Amino acid sequence: MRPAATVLDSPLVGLPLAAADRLRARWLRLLGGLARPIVRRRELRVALLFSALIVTGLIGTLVAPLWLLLLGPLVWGVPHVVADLRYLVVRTGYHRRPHLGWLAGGPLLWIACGGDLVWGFVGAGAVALTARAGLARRLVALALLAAGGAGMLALGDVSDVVFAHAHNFLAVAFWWGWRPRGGWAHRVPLALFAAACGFLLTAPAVELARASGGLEWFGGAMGPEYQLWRVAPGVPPELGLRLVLLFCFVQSMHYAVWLHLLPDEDRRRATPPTFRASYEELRRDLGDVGLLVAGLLTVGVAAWAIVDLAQADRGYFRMARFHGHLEIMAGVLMILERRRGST
Amino acid sequence: MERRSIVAVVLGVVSVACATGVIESDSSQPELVVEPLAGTDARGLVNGIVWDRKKGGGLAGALVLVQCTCLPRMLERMTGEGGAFHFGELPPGRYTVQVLYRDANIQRTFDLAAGTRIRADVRVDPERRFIIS
Repeated sequence: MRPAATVLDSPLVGLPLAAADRLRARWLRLLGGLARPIVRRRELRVALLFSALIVTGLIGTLVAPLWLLLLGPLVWGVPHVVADLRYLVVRTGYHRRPHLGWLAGGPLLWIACGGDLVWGFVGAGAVALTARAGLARRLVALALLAAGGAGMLALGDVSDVVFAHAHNFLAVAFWWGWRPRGGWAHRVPLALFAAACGFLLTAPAVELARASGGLEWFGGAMGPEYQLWRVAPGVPPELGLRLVLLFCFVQSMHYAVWLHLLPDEDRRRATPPTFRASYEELRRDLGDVGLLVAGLLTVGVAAWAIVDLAQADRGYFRMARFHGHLEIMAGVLMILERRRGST
Repeated sequence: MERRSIVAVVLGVVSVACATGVIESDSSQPELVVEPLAGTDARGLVNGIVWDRKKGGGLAGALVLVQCTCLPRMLERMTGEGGAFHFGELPPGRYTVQVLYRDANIQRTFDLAAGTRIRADVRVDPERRFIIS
C-alpha cells in the first residue's frame, strides 16, 4: 500500500536510524578490542545485556515502582504485544495455518472483549489438539491445559491476578527455551533473576522502596493502595507490597525479553545487524500497513496518556488482555512440535 | 489491498475498540426509565443507583460525573450507602453520566427533556482488574 510505504521510507524514519547506526559504530570503535567478543559472541552479549537489564530493573523497582508500573505498559506495552505477534505467530509461520486463526482467534477476541480467562485455555486446548505431534503428547497437553482452566475457574475473582503474575514469568521461560543453550553464560542472568525475585519478596526490599520514596504517590487514584488492590488483592499489606514490587520487576523483565533479548536470540546471524537492517526485517515481517498500524497504536496510547494517564493505562490493559493466552497457545504448539525459536 | 494489510487494519480497529471499551462482554446496562415530573417545572432530574454486578447490592463510593453542554461545568457526586445518586434542577439537553469505580468506567448518554426525570442505573463489576501487562 503506497501511502504506508511513503511514511515508512520518509526521512523522519531514515534519519534517526542512520544517526543511531553512526553512533553505535563510533562507540564500538572507541571500545576497540573490548567490544569484539560482545559483538561476535551472542551468548556473552545476551547474558551481559540481560544481567544489566536485571540490575537496572531492580534499581528502578526499588526507587520508582509506582512510576514503572504506570509508565512501563504505556511506553513498552504495544511494542511488546507486536513482538508477541511477530515472534510467536508471523516468524513461526503459524499464521499460514488457517484453522489456527479460527481456533485461537475466537477465544482471544472474547478475552480481549473482557470475557473470562478460562476461554483462553479452551482455545489453547483446541490448538493443542491440532498440533503436528503424536496423539499421546497432544492429550497430555490437553489434560494440563484443562487443569489450568479448572484452576482459573477455582480462583474466581483473583484468576486475572494470578494469571498476570504467571504470564510475566512466562516471558523468561520463552527466552530460556528459545535456543539450545551451550556454555554457562545464560545461567548468570537466570541466577540473578531468581535472586532478584527472591530479594523482592523480603521485608528489606519494601523498606528500601519506602526509604527511597518510591512508594509515595503525588495524588490521584493510582498509588500503592490501588496497586495492592490490583496485583495483590486480599493479601496483608506488608506481604502485598512485596508482591507489588515483584510484579513491577518481573513486568519490566518481560518487556525486556520481548523487545531486546528474544529478537537478538532469534536472528540467524550471531552478530547484531545495523538498526537499518533490523528495521527492514521488521517491515518484512509485519508488512508496511502492519508496521504503520503498530506505530499508530504505540503513539496513540502515549498521546492518550498525556491527556488522561489513568484511562490510557486501563485502555492499554483492556487492549492487551488477550496476549497472555496467545503466548500460551504458541508455547504449547512450540513444545508439542519440538520447535525452538522461529526457525 | 493484500490479505496481510487487511488483517493488520482489522487488528488495529479491534485493538482501538478494546482499548476504548466499545466492545466488552459484560457491558449491558439496565434500561433507562423516563418519567414526567409532577408540576410544570422546565427543569429535569437525573438519578439512579450504581449496582454491584456480582453481588447485586448498591455500591457506595463510586464517583458519578454528569456532563452537558447546557451546564456551566461538570457536576460530580459520590454515591452513598445503597449506591444512590441524584442530580436535580437540570436544564434540558444531551447528558452523559459517567461512573468511575476502581478500574470500571461506564458512560451512559441520553437526552433529558424539560419536566422529566431519567433514572439511569449503572452496573459495575468492582472486582474487575486489567493487569495482564
